[in-house]
Amino acid sequence: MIDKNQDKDILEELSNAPHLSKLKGKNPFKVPISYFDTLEEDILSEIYLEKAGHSKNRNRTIFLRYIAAASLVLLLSYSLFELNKKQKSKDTFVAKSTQPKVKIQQEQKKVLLVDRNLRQNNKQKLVLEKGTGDSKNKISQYQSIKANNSKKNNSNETSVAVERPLTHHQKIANTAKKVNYKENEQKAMVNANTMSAAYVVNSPSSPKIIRSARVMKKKSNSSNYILPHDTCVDKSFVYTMAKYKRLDSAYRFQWVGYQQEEAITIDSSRLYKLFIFLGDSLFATDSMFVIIVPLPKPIIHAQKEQFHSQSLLISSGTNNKNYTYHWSVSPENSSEIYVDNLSSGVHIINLRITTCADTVNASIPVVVSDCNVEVPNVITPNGDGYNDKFYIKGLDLFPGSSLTIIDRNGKLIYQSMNYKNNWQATSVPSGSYFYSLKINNKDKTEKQGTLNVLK
Amino acid sequence: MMTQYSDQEIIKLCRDSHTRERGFRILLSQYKERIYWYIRRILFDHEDANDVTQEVFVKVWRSLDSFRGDSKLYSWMYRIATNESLNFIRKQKKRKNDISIDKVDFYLLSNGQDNLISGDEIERKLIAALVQLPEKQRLVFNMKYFENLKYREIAEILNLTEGSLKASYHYAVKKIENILKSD
Repeated sequence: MIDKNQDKDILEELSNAPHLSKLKGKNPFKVPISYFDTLEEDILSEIYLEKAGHSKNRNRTIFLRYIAAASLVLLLSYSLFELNKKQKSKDTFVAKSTQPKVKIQQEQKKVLLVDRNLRQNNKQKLVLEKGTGDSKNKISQYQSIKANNSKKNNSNETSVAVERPLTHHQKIANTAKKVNYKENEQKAMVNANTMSAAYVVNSPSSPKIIRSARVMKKKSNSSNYILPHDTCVDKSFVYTMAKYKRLDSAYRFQWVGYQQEEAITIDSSRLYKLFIFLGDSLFATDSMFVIIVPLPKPIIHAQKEQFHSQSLLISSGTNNKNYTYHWSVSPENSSEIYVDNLSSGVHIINLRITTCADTVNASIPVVVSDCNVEVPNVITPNGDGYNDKFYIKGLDLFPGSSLTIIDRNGKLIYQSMNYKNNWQATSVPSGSYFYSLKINNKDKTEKQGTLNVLK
Repeated sequence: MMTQYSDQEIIKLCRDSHTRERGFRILLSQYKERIYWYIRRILFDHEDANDVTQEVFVKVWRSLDSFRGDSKLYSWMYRIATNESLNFIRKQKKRKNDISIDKVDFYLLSNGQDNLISGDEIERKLIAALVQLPEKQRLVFNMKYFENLKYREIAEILNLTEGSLKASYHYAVKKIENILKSD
């Protein structure tokens, strides 16, 4: 992306600006953790909703209905900010809104934080909450919104479940937090029949219905989640909403990325997102992350001929990053291992592969012999490329092996202290010869035999 | 890691109604950060930038049909991002006399505690300086200094001549340097 001319341009200009060039284009801004994942999900949700034919107007009427349903609506909008600005020096100010006036008394610094959250001038933040809430409560709620709701609420305050769409990882990380929220939620539900508290951001240009919907779902369903937990399975499957459908035929299901309504085939590892509409309105969203890890089918490979001085390569014949390999002969967890110094004899190599879904066992016998060189009993040195040399298979693994060849009369024909598989019987006639081979292995194995030379 | 797709590949995917969604997802994953940062440096505030970024991509989605291949994908998106950001500022200005001053106050007051800007003194000064730049200079400066775009590319996005861009950048650098220098 950066090309040299470009750099020159900038350097030239910046040569007169030492302070600026010291910063080297460093970004002075930051974003919240995992923001870009959330952003992507938000945009896709919006586009999906648009595709599903949900006009903004309709969303607005939905919100209006919720306003009516709630026992108290606090409407804080731009006017609050304006007032706040004008009255920075004062401790107390009054929020102007269409709803009952609310006095907010806070120390200066905190008001600034609140104002930062409420400042968006083309938006309305609606807090639907139980009737007994007082203004102090609300401030605390905004602060907890500001703090991304990670702080524990005081016991006498209404809980606010602010849930931005979370990424898969965040969800897992937040499991513990959710347990805490549950307690608060239940308490709140006793006090308010329909909804206890919800955080709704409604902008006329881009309705962020998702955030509110998640909250609604949590409030209205005691079971909280429609879909099963994130899961890991070994093969694709069809997931059907039939069970849910039976409860009320008014529900309509829409999976993101699918035409089908109720049953979808889950055939790849990813996030599956579901929108549930009740009549015209979005009732809930939910998602589950499915990882599909097929069952391993190991076919263990190992070299057939093994000598104990060699290291032995054993391969599982499978490879999937979601598998964990447990070998009986190695602490390694990889799909291929090297094993050194196996003693002579038969070894059963066991392999256990664990996946998220299951465990598969496999084993292979490996024969480790002391010496397994193959000495031919005939050579045909005629230059045809076949058996032209006295080639002893496997000998190259044991450098330093010596070879002696004598004829029928016991006369020395050839001798090498480090035979390199290169004798071609060049200066001798056809006939039978004897060889004596001393293999330079651990046991210094000796082999003798007849070698026929056919020319 | 996801493989990088070229603009042509993305456009091809987006043209076909069967692969449009996939194409858009790829576009989104490849451009979301660039576009966000571009907008953030114009608007400064994270929440504002977040809203405008979402609007930009929704617009991109809606206008994929009308996008003709005669300009580059990224300069087309930058144009949309520029327009949306400037519209946003204009809307804000209608409601308030000038938001910028408040923002500077806010940034200086918050002392980096809100975690969305650097706590570094000189970097906060840079933000304060950026806020004071006129719109056009700010846009040019951002694209040049932070994003390293060529004048030719900036000219295509902003529909201005390279000469005037160079002048704008020069003034912007001078102004910012003066602010950074002062105590």
